[in-house]
Amino acid sequence: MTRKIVSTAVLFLTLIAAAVAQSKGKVDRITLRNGKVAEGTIVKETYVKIEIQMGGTAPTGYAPADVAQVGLIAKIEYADMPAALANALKEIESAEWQEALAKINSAEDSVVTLKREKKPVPRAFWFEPWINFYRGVCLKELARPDDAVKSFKKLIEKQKDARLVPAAYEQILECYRLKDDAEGATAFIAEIEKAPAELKVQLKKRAQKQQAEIHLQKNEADKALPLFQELARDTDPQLRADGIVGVIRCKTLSKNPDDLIRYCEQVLSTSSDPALLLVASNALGDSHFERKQFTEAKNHYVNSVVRFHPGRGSPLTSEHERALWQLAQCYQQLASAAQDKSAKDAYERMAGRTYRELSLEYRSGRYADEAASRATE
Amino acid sequence: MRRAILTVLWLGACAATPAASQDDYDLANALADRGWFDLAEELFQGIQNTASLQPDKRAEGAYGLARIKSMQAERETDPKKKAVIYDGAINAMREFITAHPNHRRRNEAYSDIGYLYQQKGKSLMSDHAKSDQAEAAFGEAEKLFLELISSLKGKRPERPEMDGGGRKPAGFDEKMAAFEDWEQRMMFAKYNYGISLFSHAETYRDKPEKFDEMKRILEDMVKYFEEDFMWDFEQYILAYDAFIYMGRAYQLLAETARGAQLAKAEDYWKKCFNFIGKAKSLMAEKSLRANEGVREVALRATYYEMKARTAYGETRKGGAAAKQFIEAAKLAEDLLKYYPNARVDEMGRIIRIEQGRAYFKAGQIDKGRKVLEEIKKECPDTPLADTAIEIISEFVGDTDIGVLVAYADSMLDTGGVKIFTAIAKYRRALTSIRRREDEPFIPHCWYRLGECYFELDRYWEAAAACSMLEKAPYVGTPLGGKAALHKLASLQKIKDLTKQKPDADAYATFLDWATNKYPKEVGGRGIRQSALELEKEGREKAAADKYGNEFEQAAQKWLTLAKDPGSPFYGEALFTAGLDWYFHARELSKAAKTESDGMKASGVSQKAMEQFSAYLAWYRRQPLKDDKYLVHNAVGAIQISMAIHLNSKFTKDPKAGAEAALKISETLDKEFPSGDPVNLMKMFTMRIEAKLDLDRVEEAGEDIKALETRYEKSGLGMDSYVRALVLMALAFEKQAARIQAADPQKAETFMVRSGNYYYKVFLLDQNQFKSAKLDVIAGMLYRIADQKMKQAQKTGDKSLAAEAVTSFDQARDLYQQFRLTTASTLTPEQDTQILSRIITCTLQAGKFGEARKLIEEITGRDPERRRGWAWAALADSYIIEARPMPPSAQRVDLFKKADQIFAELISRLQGVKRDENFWELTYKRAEVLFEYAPEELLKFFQIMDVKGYGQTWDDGTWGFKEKFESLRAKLNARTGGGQK
Repeated sequence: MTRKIVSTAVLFLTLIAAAVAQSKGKVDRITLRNGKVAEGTIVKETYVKIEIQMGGTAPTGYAPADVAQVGLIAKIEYADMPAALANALKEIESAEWQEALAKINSAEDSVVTLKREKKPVPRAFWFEPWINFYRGVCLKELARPDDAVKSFKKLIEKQKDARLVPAAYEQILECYRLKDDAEGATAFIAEIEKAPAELKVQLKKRAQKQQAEIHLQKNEADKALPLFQELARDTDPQLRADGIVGVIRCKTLSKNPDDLIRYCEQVLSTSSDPALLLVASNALGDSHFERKQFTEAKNHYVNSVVRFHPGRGSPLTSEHERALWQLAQCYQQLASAAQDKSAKDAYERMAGRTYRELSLEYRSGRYADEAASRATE
Repeated sequence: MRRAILTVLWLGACAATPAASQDDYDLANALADRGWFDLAEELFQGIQNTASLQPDKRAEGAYGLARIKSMQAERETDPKKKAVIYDGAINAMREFITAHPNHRRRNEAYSDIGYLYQQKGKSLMSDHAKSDQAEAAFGEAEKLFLELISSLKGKRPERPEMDGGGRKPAGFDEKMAAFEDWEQRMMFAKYNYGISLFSHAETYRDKPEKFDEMKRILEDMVKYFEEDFMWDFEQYILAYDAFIYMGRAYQLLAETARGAQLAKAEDYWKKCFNFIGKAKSLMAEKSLRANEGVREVALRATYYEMKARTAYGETRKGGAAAKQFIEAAKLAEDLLKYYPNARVDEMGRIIRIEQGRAYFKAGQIDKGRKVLEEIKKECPDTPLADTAIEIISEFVGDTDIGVLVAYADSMLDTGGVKIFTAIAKYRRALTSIRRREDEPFIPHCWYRLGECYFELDRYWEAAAACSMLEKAPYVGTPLGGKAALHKLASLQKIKDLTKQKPDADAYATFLDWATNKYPKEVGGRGIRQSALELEKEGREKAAADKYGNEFEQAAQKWLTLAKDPGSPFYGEALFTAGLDWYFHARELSKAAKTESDGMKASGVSQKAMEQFSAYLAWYRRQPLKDDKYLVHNAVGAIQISMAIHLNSKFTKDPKAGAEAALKISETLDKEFPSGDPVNLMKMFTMRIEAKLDLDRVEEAGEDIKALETRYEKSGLGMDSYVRALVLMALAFEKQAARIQAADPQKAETFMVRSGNYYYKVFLLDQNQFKSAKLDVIAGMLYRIADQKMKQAQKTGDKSLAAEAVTSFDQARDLYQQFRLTTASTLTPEQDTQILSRIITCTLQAGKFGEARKLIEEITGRDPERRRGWAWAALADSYIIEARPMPPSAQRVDLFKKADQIFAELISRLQGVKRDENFWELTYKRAEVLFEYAPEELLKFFQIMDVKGYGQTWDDGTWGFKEKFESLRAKLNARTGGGQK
């Protein structure tokens, strides 16, 4: 068994070979980002490791040994997860924060009822940290950063070794940033020193990311850039991705299109993460759009829209939404510039249908109303 | 529903019209409902132009034509055209009212206008820029009904009263009819006004800025219904429908309650369930359930309560939410217990879909999936199946990629705005694929995404999606080839659009690459593309009633591809060439002015059939037939060939055509066990039609049994099955008419068979019989049953008696339906006559308990025995029950009861008149005495002799003299007595 300091995203799965009787349909499931699945009973979910006792049968098509490979966690499903919490997670994926919060509260209430009725309740080792963490996320998104901080702190204090603890630290820093509370952030960064030793390095990097974000918020791209560049070289894929996105944002602000284009093209040719590809492609599109090079901009946005969807629930779906909007704008510009009537009609049709796609795919999004009013079938 | 409710209420009026034109009217409506507008239009025009009909009957043709316009507007998908067609329909309805201000369909026409305004408003409301026009349309609807109500208020006739002695004063009936007519008009106007408010308010449900306005309108509506509506439950089912709308109004109020109003939400929900519950209570009454209107209200009420429960559940948490979802699902279960047949009708399936959704929401995934999978299987390739798949994909799509992709495929195949849904689903599938077994979906999704964008004329996006298959492991695969063709087509479009060198270069470079990788595909692509473009042009021209030779040219292009069996387009080319020849033949036929034009069309249709035949031969040689397009085309090839053979425009010799249609389709069953069931039903019906054309009626009768089994199994293709039944009924009717003079007995057997088919139609689709037709068929069955029963009693033929009982049973069902649907319009005399027939049928069918209940309903209210026929029927019921019994006290008791009734009735008539009725009752009493008290019968004859009647009886006028003497002889034989 390997022990190592881990981030929230990189985890080692420990497989306990002893067969554990599992009744069909009542298993916990871990899905890795590479598609591999482990089924069994999860007995521990800490920031160090997840321990799963595998049943006698391996997931279809995979040997248990495959599952033991290091991978990124895409999803954890607990057999004893209350329906309300499962639904809350779906709401979070759809950015329906108020509904998600209500369902999280409902899930918590349901446990009280189950206890009263002497029925099995979800195992506390995972349930309580999840509730505290996701409640905090919803509160943060609902612009209640103080309440969110309370929920994250509760997690850090009460479930000290939970897998979500490092993420909770970062979320707290993000809350301070949202409040524009530099003092609070600095004070909290100092608290990282009190964190468990094995987390400290990772947490400091997360703090560094938040500091960079604060600089960006103040339009201090030159100060943010080195911080992000350092993160872009990190071994943790998530931090690395955050760093690359930060670098792109800094370079966009610095108004040096050639430098930006060079960097984005490098990302496009070396990365396979759709989220990074999306950000790079959009940045290229934006750069051309600003210079009124709509044909070139359109090509980049087309790639963003068609090939680089970041996946449901990704925080970067808003970038995909924006790419659709920008693409429609490009078509409109091309229509205005077209001399030939048939070309003008064709571009207008493309614009109208791109607006339609946007208004349907992001119904409650920021462009929905405007897009709907410009849409054609 | 609104229309259906009105129709139910108007049945009475319809029943009074001449049957023949009424049948045409009903048939035309049924055709229009199924979207066969051209045929419906022909029939309505026929009614309008038939000089021999009464003017008001002819006016129904005008009304029908206006209705067609309204239906066409509803089916139109282009919003711009839709608004124009709505205006046309509104004008047509207004013209009808102006031309026929007192026509019995004027209320319906007013409802239609209001409805059309509302639909127009809804359609315009979807366009942001046209919300003012939408508001105006809603305003017009409300204004129309308010004006109507106001004008009716001033015209209220006096309701006539009975005089002090409970007698009708002179002119009572006419005054009452005028009052009832007014009342009905007023009720309709008020109902429609309330509904127009609801429809208006409902359009604001997704517009929070309009919630206050919506609340105001809904509160007005509720207040209006509560204070001004005429809640005449006894007479109008409409009142129950109003309850549903009130429930829905409260649901809207609850759902959109904000701020201070939130406290009221719970109360709104309660009221919502309370009102919908009132409407639903109709079906709790067993005796009412058979009524079509009640059934419809029950289905609607259940549906809306399910929707409301689900919406209410969404506002609850945890167990409380699940409780509502489960309750919603249970509502469907309850309804289907009452109406098991509803499982396979459209509204029933919609309810089952809601049931599946509710199960999913309650977390009962397996149950939800089972219900929805059933729907998917029952009606594949329909919007209902799409909805079922959508719900399944929504709840299990993350884990079951196959479901998600199948749904996306069906959306893309549907086309139009659904393509956007398909894009979202393919995208979701691509980002959700994690397991190795789901990886084959990846190239499929990319290719189909390319198709989606291509369909939307977004060629850059299409090219980007298809380019995902240019690398290993997809390059070189058949799908990779298809994607390359799609990308090539996209790049060509881009090149033509921009006329820029870089785009032309990109096209040329990719063409080189694609030609190298996929030589055959690229070679045929250009030809195929131009054929498809020609077809598109041809379709556009045909839609505008302009005919060219595009289809002919397209067919020639396909034939070029069909020369190379190694081409990837070979099969498609064989079939599509046939299809284009067929379209070309149709165009030629439509434009034909001379016989030689017609001959030319016929010649082209033969070419189509040759192509189809070549396609079928190729298809049958294919080792694997799992591609659904190959199968679809094969079924299509046979279907179109049959249509050509059976079309008199293309086939000179109808008999030979019918023979050929049968030959080409004889292996349908074996060859396409999993073909589209609806299409197969159509084709089997065409086979029946062909057999009837060949006078192979008995064989067609065998086929229809198979069709019935097929229908019962799948619940699909009811239209075709009903059509086949009607064809059979008509065929037997014709045969009966043909031999009536020569062989009346055989003619009667044909009529019975015809009646049996009509009866099946009635059971399946009562819409076919919303008229006096019900009465006519019931009468026919009744007469036949009566004759058979008499014959059976004479000859002792048990099987004949059983046949008679079946016919009585069927006649009874039809009469009952007729009585239920026309109850409000029948005169007491008509009602009595129908009721007496129902009772006779019930008795003859051996359902004594049921019959006696019906009779006692009447006799219980008639202690003075004024309604003699009912009492006589009660006595009959005792006799029919007692006669086959072995000797026993119970048997004697039953005869005694009958005897007492007859004695009482005879004594009433004795001093008044000695008509047929008197003698019949007297004879029946004598028969009863013979059964249980022969000594009393002896006395009876003695008394009659003393009084002098014993010699003359009825003087032979009604045949009773013979009967009495024959009974006397039987009595003498039994008692050995010496009665004369």
